[in-house]
Amino acid sequence: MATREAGKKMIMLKSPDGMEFEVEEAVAMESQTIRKMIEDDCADTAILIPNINSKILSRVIEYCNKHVPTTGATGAAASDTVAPAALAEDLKIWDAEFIKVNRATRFNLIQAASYLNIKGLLDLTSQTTIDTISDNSLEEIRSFLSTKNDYLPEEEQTIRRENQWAFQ
Amino acid sequence: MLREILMRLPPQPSSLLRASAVCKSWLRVATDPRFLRSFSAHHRKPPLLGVFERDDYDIVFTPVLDPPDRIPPERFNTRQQIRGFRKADLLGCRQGRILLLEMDMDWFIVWDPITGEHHHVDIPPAFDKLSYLYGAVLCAATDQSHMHGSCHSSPFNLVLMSPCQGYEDGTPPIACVYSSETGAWGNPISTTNRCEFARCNPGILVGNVLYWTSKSVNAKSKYLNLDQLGDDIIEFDLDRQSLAVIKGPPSLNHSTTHQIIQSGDCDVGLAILSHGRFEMWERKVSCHGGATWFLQKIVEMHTVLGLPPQAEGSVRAVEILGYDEENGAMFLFVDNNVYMVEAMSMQSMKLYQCSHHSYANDIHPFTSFYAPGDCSSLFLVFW
Repeated sequence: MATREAGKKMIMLKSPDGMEFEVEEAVAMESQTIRKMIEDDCADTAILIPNINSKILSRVIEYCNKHVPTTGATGAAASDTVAPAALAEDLKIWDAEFIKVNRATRFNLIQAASYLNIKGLLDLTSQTTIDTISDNSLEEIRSFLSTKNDYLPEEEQTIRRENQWAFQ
Repeated sequence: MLREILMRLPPQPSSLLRASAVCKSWLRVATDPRFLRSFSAHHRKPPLLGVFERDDYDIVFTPVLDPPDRIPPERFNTRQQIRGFRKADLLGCRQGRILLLEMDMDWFIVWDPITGEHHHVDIPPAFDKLSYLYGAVLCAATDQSHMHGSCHSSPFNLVLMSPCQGYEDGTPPIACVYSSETGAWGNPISTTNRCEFARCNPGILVGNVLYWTSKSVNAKSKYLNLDQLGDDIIEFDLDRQSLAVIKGPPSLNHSTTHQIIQSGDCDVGLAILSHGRFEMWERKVSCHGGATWFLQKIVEMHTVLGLPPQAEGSVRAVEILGYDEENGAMFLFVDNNVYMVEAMSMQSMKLYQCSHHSYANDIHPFTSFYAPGDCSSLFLVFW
């Protein structure tokens, strides 16, 4: 059982709705945006994360906690007993469970991953969206993503006619 | 956020076209050059859309993807896209551009079939009397973040090479480089090494070096000019701008069909097809500059292709038709079918059946990303 070691540097992340999350610096630094703030010494005791509410921020932290590379004494022990391939497989299963969220939450997660620059989370959330829509018709994509078709009928006709082969 | 999502659409050609039909903001993203750069960077390797070949006077495109990614051949019609086009030799294809040599006009055409854009480049004076001309077109983008696959507006270089300077073989090779940025040919580059052959297979780029081997002999050819075979390989180093003739492995001397390939990370390799077997060679250069060819493996062709072994006494007509530099795959003509064989893994798949049954032309794989606005009048309609 991994326990938090004494002396590990902690960072406080604050959401705009006033919630505070104490996380290990290594976990917070999964976000390239936060990493830069810390490296540039712009981070005081607490970092305010704008535009990301506490519900989404807690999910993001949950993701980073799971994905932070295990190093040091506890990490070495973990990788001694579990093969890297098995770890990767475990992460994949965990990711698949993690992303089972409703559409609104997923979009919020994409926005958060994009702002915080967390490549893995951005890949996961965006790719899941693409996978859900890729086999659907244009009408289904529009309805699924609540996107309004703002083409005039003749404009859409032109697009389809120009590249008819792509719409077969 | 839309960019992040759309960037992860599959790299196949229908993806961005379909996305652009969802609504105007999607079209705006899918046609934005900055987005297209990230799209290329995200996918790294552009997909193989099909192959080009010269069949008599025509340059023919054969799509290899299934619908809805199957681009109809008429979409890449030379005569529709290039005004005044008559007949041309197909010299090469790379990074979405085709290099043609117009036979009666003494000029090259560098053609981008997706945009329809084309440039005429006159043959430089030192080459206009030479009988054997080979060429390669390369994207000349120097921007660090540039990924090949959507190179349309980037500058290009054209490398022209003749294995022998006169009508007779026995004179050393000569090369010259054209830059679209300066609009001019550089000085001719020669070497003192002579080369045994005058006719070559299309040049293959490995790292930043182009390689030409002797022309493979047509599988059904009754006439075999053994003088034209040899173990020489012509090498043009684009970084050093130098030309040389190097030796291939000994069995290249007797090989009628072979293919330069990339081996390992960035070494030049050679696949020699002989007596129903692939010999896979790799050239290693030591730190002292000496080079040695190593035989990596020998693989039975029929097992690679999943075909029954060749019947006793019969000869299977087999030819290597070309090589996809992006994906490291060779194209093979066997029993009137064209197969694609990944040179490293030797995994194969049947691509299509040849429309003409007794012969096959050299094929030039066409790999590219495909974005709306590259081709159509969408811009004119909505912008």
